[in-house]
This record gives sequence, structure tokens and C-alpha cells, in this order.
Amino acid sequence: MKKKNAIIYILLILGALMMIVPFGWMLVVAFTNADITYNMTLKNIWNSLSLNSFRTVFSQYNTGRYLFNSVFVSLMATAGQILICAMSGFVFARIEFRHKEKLFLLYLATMMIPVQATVIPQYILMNKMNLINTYIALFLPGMFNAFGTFLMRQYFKSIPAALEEAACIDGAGFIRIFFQIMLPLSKPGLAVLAVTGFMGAWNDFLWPLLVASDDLHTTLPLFLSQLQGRWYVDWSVLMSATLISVLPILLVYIFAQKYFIEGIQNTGIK
Amino acid sequence: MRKMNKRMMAVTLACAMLIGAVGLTGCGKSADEGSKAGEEVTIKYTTYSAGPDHIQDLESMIAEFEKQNEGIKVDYEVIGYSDYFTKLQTQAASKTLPDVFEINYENFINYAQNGVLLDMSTLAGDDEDFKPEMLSGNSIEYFKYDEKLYGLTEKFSDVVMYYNKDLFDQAGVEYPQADWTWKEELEAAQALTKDGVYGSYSPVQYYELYKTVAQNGGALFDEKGNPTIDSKENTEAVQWMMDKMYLYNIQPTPEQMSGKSPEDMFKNSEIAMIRTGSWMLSTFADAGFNWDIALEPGNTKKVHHVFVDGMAASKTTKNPEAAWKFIKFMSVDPAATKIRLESNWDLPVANDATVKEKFIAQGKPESREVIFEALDTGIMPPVVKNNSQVQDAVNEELNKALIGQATVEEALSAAQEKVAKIIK
Repeated sequence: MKKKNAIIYILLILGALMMIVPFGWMLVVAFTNADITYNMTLKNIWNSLSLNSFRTVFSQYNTGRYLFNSVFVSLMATAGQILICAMSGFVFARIEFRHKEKLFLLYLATMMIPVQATVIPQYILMNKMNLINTYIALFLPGMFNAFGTFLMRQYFKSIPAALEEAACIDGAGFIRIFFQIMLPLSKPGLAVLAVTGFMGAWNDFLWPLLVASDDLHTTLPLFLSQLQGRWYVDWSVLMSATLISVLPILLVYIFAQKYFIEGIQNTGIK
Repeated sequence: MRKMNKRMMAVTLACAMLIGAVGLTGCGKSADEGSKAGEEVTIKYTTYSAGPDHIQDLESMIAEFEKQNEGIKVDYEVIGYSDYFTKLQTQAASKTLPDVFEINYENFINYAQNGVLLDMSTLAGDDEDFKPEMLSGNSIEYFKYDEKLYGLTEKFSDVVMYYNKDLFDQAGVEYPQADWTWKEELEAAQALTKDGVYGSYSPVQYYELYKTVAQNGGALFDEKGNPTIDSKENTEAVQWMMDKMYLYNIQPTPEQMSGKSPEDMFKNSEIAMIRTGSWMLSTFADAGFNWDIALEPGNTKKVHHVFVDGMAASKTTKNPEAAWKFIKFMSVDPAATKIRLESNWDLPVANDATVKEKFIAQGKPESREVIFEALDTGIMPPVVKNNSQVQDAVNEELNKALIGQATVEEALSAAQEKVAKIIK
């Protein structure tokens, strides 16, 4: 029994190392310089510690603005996603109407179409609406998410119908039931949606690449791509910028972790 | 009651969406008209080569341009090179290309053929301040298609041989000479390869391939554009590329490099001779050893890479005159040329004898004139249909040879077959 545990621990530690080593490497290069990769001893790292690349990142580029853009766009997309997915998930879980299942299947089927196939029509649509290079274009498409709808539908289905019936008897309408009964009950599900939605919006690259076309609307992933020159990359600067772009998502995850795990467990089959 | 509610909600939602859509388009349109009414025009410029380290140089060029041309404002956008053409294609497909954009020689034809570029022949012809001779050599021809001028060459870069003088001195080997061939390179590299130092390095990929086969008298495509990838000359050349690693051990294999870039290894004195671009001059400037550049050794022929960046305009631009002025400025204007030279941002195209002098006078390394000498034997990347697919196919097969999954002959004949299908 003990032996078995030891093996499991060793495997888990190895797995953790595989995740952590690249991250540590990034930290070291970000806080020193790119040449460190060839002589990575503790002494060398200690001697060449500096904030130079962070200074470069903030003084030579509009990094503060990019950071704001990323945060703003991700928050808007997440907020929209929570509202829209929760509402549609509620409808699909609780309200009966004709062809509901078919409609739901159709909605789910959109998950099968790769982004690359829809991106040009979507771009043309945005262009016709005169929205190219605006914040609206950056977060609007991200607000609709078939997976999020599916997730919320599953969650709502797991809440006993009796609660809703009781509220209905007390005279509450759909809107009241949704906002005052269902939403508060589904916090763990919402947390999962918020974290995945935020991460998706935060890391999204292709769509911002297409619709953002000036410095004022550039998001962090675009900035990271700009930092990679055609012929040469300053790794230290790139790693500093990457670190800056990773930190917020790390914070979101740490704070939402409790809900996140609970939520994933509960949305499964019960 | 319930049914009623649902219908009401649906109708309200639909109304809200409609109002939203109309309201939004309304806003956009009025803003657009506002800019047209004003005296000042703004043109949009997209670039890949300014990022990440020449953004400030680009800004000073634009400032100079705006000073010279009152009433024209330039908004620029920098996109990373690896994603640049993804965006450009989407914009071309939806007819929203920026007014002016950077484009390189090998991708130019595709856009010219698709008819999305502005024909500037008349603009250039009517411009009294412009003469084709203002561009050096025959570079006015590079962005012509079907006799029409679709762009101007903006700048060049080329590839030469960089070498670590200190390592040569330590090994007691003569520095690379202009008349060296692969044979002399091999002999020197064998003497240099010791104590964790590799004698020589050349990349193994499409761009290196078309040049290396040309150095052996071969070519990837014949004059009609048909692939000749598995020719005898090409096979020999690729065999040489492989032998340097697996037979003579003078070049590190991918495993031996374990993810390090060859340029970093050169800067760390782990490689004595490296073929890389003129864009590395400033990056190597602070290396902790003496180094210089020389012409590349060829086998039966002397050949060097030349890369050409150009500027083109969108066919749908509302301000063709302003676009032309900006393109002309970036290509041949003395002020722009000066900024380009001083910031080491590739080689200016302006036909001006002092350009070369100024470039050479910049000091380290000693033999700066080599960068210009290499242009005399320069070849440009092959221009073929579906350029990026061709590159991918060739790289894939080349990689198989590199990791030992196929012999050189097998890899090249497989590449020949694939490419023949792609460009059909």
C-alpha cells in the first residue's frame, strides 16, 4: 500500500516538475538576460538579476495600454458570456417549447465548426457594421459561447425543480425565478463559466489580430506576437512581457479555484 | 399568461437587437463622413519589419513625412511577421486592406494577380519629382507585374558569412577569403571544430535550400516555373548540407543544438562561421570577441540571398495620391534613407553614392562593404504560385532527411512530387 503511494507521489511530482520547469525558466530569463540560458548556475543568475527587460517592456512599448485593453475586453466578454449563457442555459433546461431539443443540438453543433472557417464571414459582418478596430468588435463575438450554454444547462438541470415550482406558486415569474432563485444557486457553475470565459478571451489571438488595427486596441497576445521579430527575438524582453500577460490569469484562477473544481464536479452526471 | 410572456420577451429582444444594430451602424457612418469633410487625410500603413525594435525609427520617419506633406497624416500598425499575412489575406478577402502596406518580394505576385493592389504607373509617371533611376540597380522592376507598377522597393537585406576571428586565430586558420569554395570552408571548419566549438553553420530549410542548390549550379524551378527539385545538382547540394552534420561533424545537429538558436551559439563562441543575415550586424555588435564578415563560399557558383521588402497600396484606397507620396517617401526620400542608415534598419534602396559610403563608415565590422558586394551575386526567393504551401511541403521533406527518416534522394523526389501537385 505504501509502495503504491510512493509511486503515485513520484509520478505526480514529475508531472508537476514538467509544468513548473518551463515556468521557472521563463522567470529566470525575464529577470536576467537571454545569455543566461547557456550558463544557468545559481551564482550567474544571482549576479545578472535585473529589471532591465521590464523597463524596456514598459518604456519602449505601450504595455500599460495593452494590459488595460486585455483586461477590459476579457471582462466585457466574460460578463456578456455569463449573462447570455446563463439565460439561454436556463431556457434550454427549464422552459418547454416546440423543437427545443433540435434547436439545442443545432446550437451545440456550432462547436464543431472550427473558428478558422467562420472568421472571415464574421470579419465581413463586423466590417459591414462599421465595427472594425473598436472595442465592441473585440468582445462582442466572445459573448456567445455554445459550450457555456451547455455547461449552464447541465447545471440548471441538476437543481431540483421543486425550488422553482415553489417560487412559481408564490407568484414569481420567469425573470424573478431566474435572477433570484436560479442564479444564486448556480454560483459554482457560473464560476467555471467565468474562469473558462475569461481565459478564452484573455488568450484569444486570431480574432484580435484581425479586428484590432492600431496601437490603441492592441491586446497582450498581439503584443507578444509583435515582440517576435522576423529574424531575431529578444527572449528576455519577450519573457518579461509573457510574465506580465500570465499573472492576471494566474490570479483569476487562484481566486476562483475553489468554485472551479466544485463546479466541474457538479456539472457532471448525477 | 405564460405564453403571452414568452412572446412579449421574444419581440422585445428582437426589437432591442434591431435598434442596437441600426444604432451602431449609424454611429460608424457619421464618423466616416466627418473625416471625409475635413481638409486633412489620414492614411493607414501596416508593417511587419518595424517590430519590435524599429518602431521608434518608423515614428521618426512618419514625423518627417508629415512635416514634408502637410495635410497627410499616417496611422501605422505593426504586426508580427509570422501573423502578418494571415491578417493581410483576411483584409484582402473582405476588401478592407490598409491604404499602404509592406509586402515582400515572394508574396507580392499573389496579391498582384488577385487584383487587390493599386496600379501606380500613372501616379509615378505624372509625378515630376520622381524618376525610376532614383532607385538603385533595377529594383524599380521588382514590384512590377504585367508591365504595371504596383509598388516600390523599400529596402534590402542579404545573407553573408560571419566569422569569429578569435577562434580562427586560436586554431591558426586563415580567415575566409572571397574565393573560398565549400572545400576550403570544410578544411577550415575541420581545423576549427574542437573543444565544444563547431566550425560552421548553415540552416536547413527552404530559404537556405534554394540558395545552396544555386551555389552548386542547381535550381528548385526551371525558367518556366516547373519544379526541378530532385535534379542531380540539387541532390549533391543537399547531401553536402547533411554531410556537414553527419559525416564531417563540423555543424551541430538539431539534437546537439537542443533548441538554442545558431545566432546565440555564434555569439557565445560555440560556432566559428555562420551564414546569417545583414540584420544581425547590430545584434552581434556587442559580442565579446573580434568578428568580421566575408562572402559566402559557393561550390561551382558564387550566390547570395537577397531579401526585398516593398511597399504597395490597396486598390480600394480613397487617397491614392497620399498613398503614393508616402510610398515614394519610404523608398527614396533622403531623410528616410538617413534614418534607415543610422538605425541599421536594413539597406536603403535610394540610388545615392553616399549611401554606401555612410554604411561602410559605420565601423564594426571591418569588412562592411561585403554586404554590398554580396548583392552583385544575389538571387531572390523563387516566385511561385501558393508560395507558402510550397515552402511547407519542401521543409517537411527536408526535415525528414535531417532527422534520418529518409535519404536525400527520397526526400527530394517526394518534395518534387508534392510541389508539382501544389503549383499545378
